[in-house]
This record gives sequence, structure tokens and C-alpha cells, in this order.
Amino acid sequence: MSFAIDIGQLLYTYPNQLQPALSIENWQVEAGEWVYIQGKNGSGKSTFLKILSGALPRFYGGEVVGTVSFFGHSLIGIDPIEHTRLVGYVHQQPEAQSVYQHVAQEVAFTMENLGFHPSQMHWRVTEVLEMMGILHLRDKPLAELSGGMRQRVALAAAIAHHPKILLLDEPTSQVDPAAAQSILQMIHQFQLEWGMTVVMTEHQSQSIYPYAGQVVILEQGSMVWHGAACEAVAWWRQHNPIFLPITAQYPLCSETSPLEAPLSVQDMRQKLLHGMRQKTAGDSAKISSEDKQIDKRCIDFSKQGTAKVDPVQGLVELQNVNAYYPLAEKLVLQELSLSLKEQSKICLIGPNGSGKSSILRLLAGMLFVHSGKAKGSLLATHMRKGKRMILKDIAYLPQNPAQWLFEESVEEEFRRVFRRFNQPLTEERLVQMLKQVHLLAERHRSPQDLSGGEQLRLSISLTLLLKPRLLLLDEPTRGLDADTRIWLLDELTRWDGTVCMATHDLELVAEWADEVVFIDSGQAVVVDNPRRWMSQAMLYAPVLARAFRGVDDEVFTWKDAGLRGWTLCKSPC
Amino acid sequence: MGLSQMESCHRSRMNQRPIIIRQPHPYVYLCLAIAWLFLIFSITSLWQMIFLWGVSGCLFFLQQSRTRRSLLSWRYLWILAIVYAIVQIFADAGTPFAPLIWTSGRLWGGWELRLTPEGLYAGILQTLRYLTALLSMTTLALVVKPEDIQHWLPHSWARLRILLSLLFNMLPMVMDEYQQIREWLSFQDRLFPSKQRQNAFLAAVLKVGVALRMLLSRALERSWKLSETMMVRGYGIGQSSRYLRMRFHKSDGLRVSLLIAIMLVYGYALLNLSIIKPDWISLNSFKRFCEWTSLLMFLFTLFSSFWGDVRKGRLDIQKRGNGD
Repeated sequence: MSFAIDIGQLLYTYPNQLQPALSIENWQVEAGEWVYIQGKNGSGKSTFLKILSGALPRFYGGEVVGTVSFFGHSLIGIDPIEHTRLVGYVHQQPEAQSVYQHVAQEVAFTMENLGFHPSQMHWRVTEVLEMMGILHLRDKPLAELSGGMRQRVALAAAIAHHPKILLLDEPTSQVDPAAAQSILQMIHQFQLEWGMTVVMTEHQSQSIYPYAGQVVILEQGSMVWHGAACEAVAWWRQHNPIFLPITAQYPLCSETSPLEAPLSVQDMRQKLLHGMRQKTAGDSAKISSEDKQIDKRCIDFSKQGTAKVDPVQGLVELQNVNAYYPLAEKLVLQELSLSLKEQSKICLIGPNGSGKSSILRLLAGMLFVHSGKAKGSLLATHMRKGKRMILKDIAYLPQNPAQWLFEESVEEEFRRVFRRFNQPLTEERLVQMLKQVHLLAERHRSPQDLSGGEQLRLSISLTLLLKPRLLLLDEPTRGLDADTRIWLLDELTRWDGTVCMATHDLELVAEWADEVVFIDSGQAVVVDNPRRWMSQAMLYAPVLARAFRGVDDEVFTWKDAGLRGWTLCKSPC
Repeated sequence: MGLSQMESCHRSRMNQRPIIIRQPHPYVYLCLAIAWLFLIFSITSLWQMIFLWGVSGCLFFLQQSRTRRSLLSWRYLWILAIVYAIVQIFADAGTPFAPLIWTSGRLWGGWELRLTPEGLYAGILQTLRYLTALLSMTTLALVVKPEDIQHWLPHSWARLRILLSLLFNMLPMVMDEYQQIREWLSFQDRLFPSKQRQNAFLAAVLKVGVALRMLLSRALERSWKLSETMMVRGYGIGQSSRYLRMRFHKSDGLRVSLLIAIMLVYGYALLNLSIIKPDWISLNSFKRFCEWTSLLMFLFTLFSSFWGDVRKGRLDIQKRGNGD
């Protein structure tokens, strides 16, 4: 029987380039297997998916050497109709792949191109929408759907023609934890019930490892390792453990066999329930002063409450604010009350479409105020009905920072900021700044050509140059690899101003934030200490908090677990 | 809870047959657009043009208030309209013997600006024509769905169909993006306010340039990504089929026939009506009567297309919901 995907000595080179962008020696995928492609930003994951999807070299050009075949059909000479029949593709940004305005038509697009009979299309569209739980949206315009729903529509559109291979480019990077979980479960169902082969890239390895049958690791365009998911743990432990699923990072018990590493919350709980808790006086004495500080944040909840801050000391104090977009009839923020204190680290969390980004846009002066009150030292003018709320000394980084990088080169972006300040930028200073963001080699490249992580590093450093008192960040860790995420966390920890961030990254919230605001339907429904609130949340809790739930409710990170004397045994004790 | 246990008020609501508004067939929109343009460019009476301008303005504002979206910028449109009117007024000054309202006398190069009643009339008419065409086409762009365009062109023109459809899809998106970019630039301006007043104009000009550059780069990027996914999803690989097939109803046929008749009558009215003119009415009055009748018939067709197709008792999945 032929393999679902069979690659031999593949080399791909982009047009006008000398060095190959991707190099894969020999690689096979069984039919019905779930393959997880892992690697840093810019390691070649998207290039790999584009080759499998046929976009390379058919759309972008370039040179392919070697063999790629799907179920015995060579990709080089395959009939495009046959290729489209075999493959379903979901883009990272669902809005980028929408051709039509309405859901049903969008789902039927591939079938239209394959010449399906209208009656065939109708029942398939109905069936696939029903399966996704979005049949009620079939006549809705796509523009009215939330990010999670659009991702489901994109998935429905990719599988409606019943492909044998499903290619997914970070399908859960834009959605909230609940939607991400639901999308992955659906894909798992296709894999199990239809025998669909799934090839997927994603940065949140924790959610994928439990499903993955095979893990492929790419580095600088080369496949450096591939094998079973449990074996991948050993490779990552040797090379870069932060790329492992959180449950498998296991810093407390590194001598444990990688094969026994828990890959899911369920596995982790099993290990905890059969493991041993070691907490000795000697261990406690080893806790450093820095760790004590973290320990205090972790354990001593009583000192951190939700007591109201003195409005005079607050940077911004919003009371019952209603706000709307310039051309919209509906209020996007309703009765919002929020206080931003000096040097506080605030995280806004909540489902897609709840209004997190709208709060940041309100603070950035991009929304119109309908009613409500605002006080605070950052308020530049009095807030008035039908006007924007204007704050001073703030900086705002939207969801996709690349959209706002419009100079011709990285270097020019720095020069632009200095020109705005009417300050000279010396070559030494420029080099120093470029080194800090690891972009010295890229100084003459266009910001649009940088990888997602590089663009974020550039945008953050440009934003911090402004020295704002309040920094607004909209999902900055979206689509970032583990290395860049750590870089960001370090930068934000060093930053002494106030930061207000909308995010779905619950590990970051637990590790870094000192206040969490849960947003639902444009309202701040909870303002609390993150750890106290997360210890009660079922879904909006970090992976380790869910794993330790009921066992030790004060563990949110591996550091917490260590501080509290947790270790895990190889065998039940 | 079963249906039998529901309160009577709920049951009566369930039994009501929902009302839906059936959209006219895309051919009707196409016909309306052609007839509308034909009328706009055929009208020679200022009053008729003012009437049409008013109607298109009302339609535009109605549509804009519904969608909260406009493809026109009033700030620039009015400036453009005034400049256009001035040029037209002096360009159509009429015959050399036309009565003069004002003249500039001999200018450099022997040119002379002459303001005449004929020129004034023609200038206002032309400007209103230009505004009406712009308003009505903008309204049409908001009413017509990208999918409708696919029905306008024959099957063999599949590529052009999808390109036009995408273009219509992209226009509102581009407008939204332009709005976002302007917001972003305003935000930056607030961060770095210009202290020198004389630089304000230069900064505004530069800002428009930056906004257009950003818009262009984003539009190109979006098109690029879309083209890639379209190719991956099999666009243009072979004989395609169509998911939506809109039925051409009798009412659609009636409308199309009416619109063709209107164009014929109006066109004929412009040419010669002496053959069918009754004796008791002057030729000019009969011509005006035919023109106004055509206009009113057109408006009747237009309004019936938008609001007249209320049908009771059709299944509406959206209103009934899943569990009904």
C-alpha cells in the first residue's frame, strides 16, 4: 500500500535564491496519521505546507528537486484536479482565504471548482456545517462572524469535498481556548472516522501533542528529526526544552524517561495521583529571594485583593463607559468599569469577540464614547459624549504589528521614530538597538519580509522607544514560537511602566500579570488577582493549574510546583 | 419541554408563517443599473435631473444608514463637484451671441471667461448628472452582492466573473482598512503632535501619502494571499459548477420588460414623438409627459425591486432557527 505522503530527497529553492529554503531527505506518512510540524518562526514550516498544498512551486515559482507523492501520485506531474480532490487546506488567517461573502457559498467554493453537481454540493454543505455546529450560520455574511466561527467555516470549506489529506497552518492561533479545543476535537474526529491524514503546524504544542502520531522538527529549512510524539520529548529535552508541551517540560524530575513524560493534562493528573509529594525543610531553605517573591505572588493571595485603587493615583479610571466604533450602531463596550494603576501588569482575557481589543482601542482613542466617566493622570482632555477618549503618554501595538511597519527597511523604522522626536540617531546607537532585538543582520530588509517573531521584536522595541507610561498590547504572543515568547516576557518584565494586554496566553497571565480582567460582551465581569481567579476557572486556567486542580490549587507554573516541593516519580510510590 | 406543554402565546407565534423579502434576480439589478445610467445621461431637463438627483441621494443615504458604510468621501466629493461645476459652466457658455451675465474680458493668451444663462444651466445639469451617477453607482455597489455578478456574465467568462466578484468583495474591505489606517495615523499624530503650525498642511499631505501607501501594500498582500488560497482550492482548474442558482421569477421578468420598455419610450421621446402624439397636446408637452412617465415608472420598478417582494409563507431558516 502506498503512503499518504512520501517524500524523497526534496530540495526546494525560491526564485532568485541560491540556497534551498527547504531540505527533506526521506519522509513518509501513513494514511490516517496526524503529523505535527514543529519549529521556530522562520524554520520553514509554512514553506513545507505550501509545497504539500501545491502553492509551491505552482503559484510562487521556484525549483523543486526530488520526489513528493500523495498516495502514489507524484506531486510534480499530478493533475491539479486530482491534487485539489486529495488536499484540503486551512490558512492561518481565515479571512485571507474567503472568496465569497456568505458562509454556504464559501464552503462550496472548492466543490464548484471541482465541478460538483449542485445537489451534491447542497447536501455536503449542509452536512459539513451541521457537523461543525454552524448550520444556523449558513446564510450569514462572513464579516459578521467571530474569529472562532470563521475558523470553523474555513475548516468546513477545506473538508466539504472530502479530501484525504488535511493541511492546517496554525488553525488555532487566532481563537480563544474553548474554540481551539473544539476545533482540535473536530479534526481528531475527521482523522478517526474518515481516516483523514492531518498535517499541521502550531506553536501551542501542548494542545497538539496528545493528538499527534508523528512529530516533525524543522530547523533552518531542514528536517532535523521526525518520529513518534513521545520520542520527540527526548529530542527537545536535549536541544530546546521550552518547545515541549508544558506538561512534558518536567523540570522537577528530568531523570524521568522521556517516554514516560505526560503529554496531556489527563496524563499529568494520572502521574500526580500516583506520584509522590516531597516537601522537606531543606528544600524550603533553598528558595532564593527572587523565588520567595514569586512564592508570595503564588501563595499569599490574602495580600492581593480587588480593593479599589485611589482614583487620584490611577493612570486611568473608567466608570460605566459605553463606547462604539465610528460607523457602528451597536455599542461594543457596555458599562465598562476599569482601573489602570501605575506600574501594574493587566491582562484582558475572554472569548473571541468579547471586546478585549475594543477596550485597547478605546484607550488608544479609536472608539467613540457614548456615556460614562473617566478620571486619571493620563487623561489629556475631558471625556465627552460622541468624542474619542484622548490619553497622553501611551503606546499601542495592534494584533498584527506588521500592518503598521511601512518603511522600506528595518533601519528606516528606527530612523522614523527618532525623526519624530527630532533627535539624531548615530550609527553606534542604531547598531546597539538592532543588536538588542537580534535584527542587525536584517537591517536592510523590508519589515514585511521578516518572520512573525522578528516583526514583533521590531515593533515592541520601536514602541518602547517612545517611553510610554501606558503600553497597550493586543495579543502579542499570537503565532510566536517559544523563544520569542520568552524574549517578550523578559522585555515586559523589565519594563517599569503600566502594561495592559489582551491575550489568550494563560501561562503568560499566570506568570507575569498582577491583575486579570475577564471580558464578556463588552463588560469587565471579573477584576481579580490572576492566580486567585484562575484557581477557580475550568477553561481559563493554565495547563498546570488544570493538571494540579484538586491536588494542589496553588500550582500554576513549574516554578510554583518546585517551590511547593512537588516532584514526580518514575513509578507509583 | 415538548410543544404541547408550551404556553399558548408561544404556540401561536410558532404557527405564524414567517415573512421574508425575496431578493430580485441579479439580472434585475443589472437591468436597473443600465436603465438608470441611460436615464441619467439622456435627461436634458434640469428639473428631471434635480428629481433624479434627489432620489439617488435618498437611496444612497438609506443604504448608508443600513450598512453604515460608504465608498464616498463627502469632504472630497463636494470640492470635486464645485470644481467640476465651474469648469462646466464656463466650458458650455453657449453661442457667441448668447446673453452675457458676466465676462472676464480678454485674459492672457486671448482667452475669455463668459458666464451665460445657457452655460449656467448646462453646468448645473452636468454637475448634477455627475453627482447622480456617482451616488447611484455607489448605492448599487453596496446593494449588489459579489455573488450577483457571477450571474451577470456567461459561464464561459468564469475568470472575469470571479475577478469582478472579488473586486466587489474587496471594495468595502479596502474602505474599512483605509479607516483603520487613518485611525492609526491620527493616533500617531496625538503621540507626536506637530508644534509648528506651518507644518500642519505638509503633515496632512504626507499623511494621505502614507495612508495610500499602506493601503496599497496591504491590498496587494491580501490579494496575493487570496490568490494563493484560491489556487490551492482549485480555482480555474477545469469545468466549474455553481452552488447558487437563482430562479428567474415572473416578477423579475416583468421588471426587466418594464425597464426595457422605459428605455425604449424615453429614447423614442428624445428622438421623435410626432407620429404617436395626439393632436390636442403640443409636442413639447407630450415629450415632457413621456419623460416624466418613464421616470416615474422607473422609480416604481426600482422601489418594487427593493421593497416590493414581500412574500408570506416561505421557509426562512434564519428566522425559524434550527430547532423549529
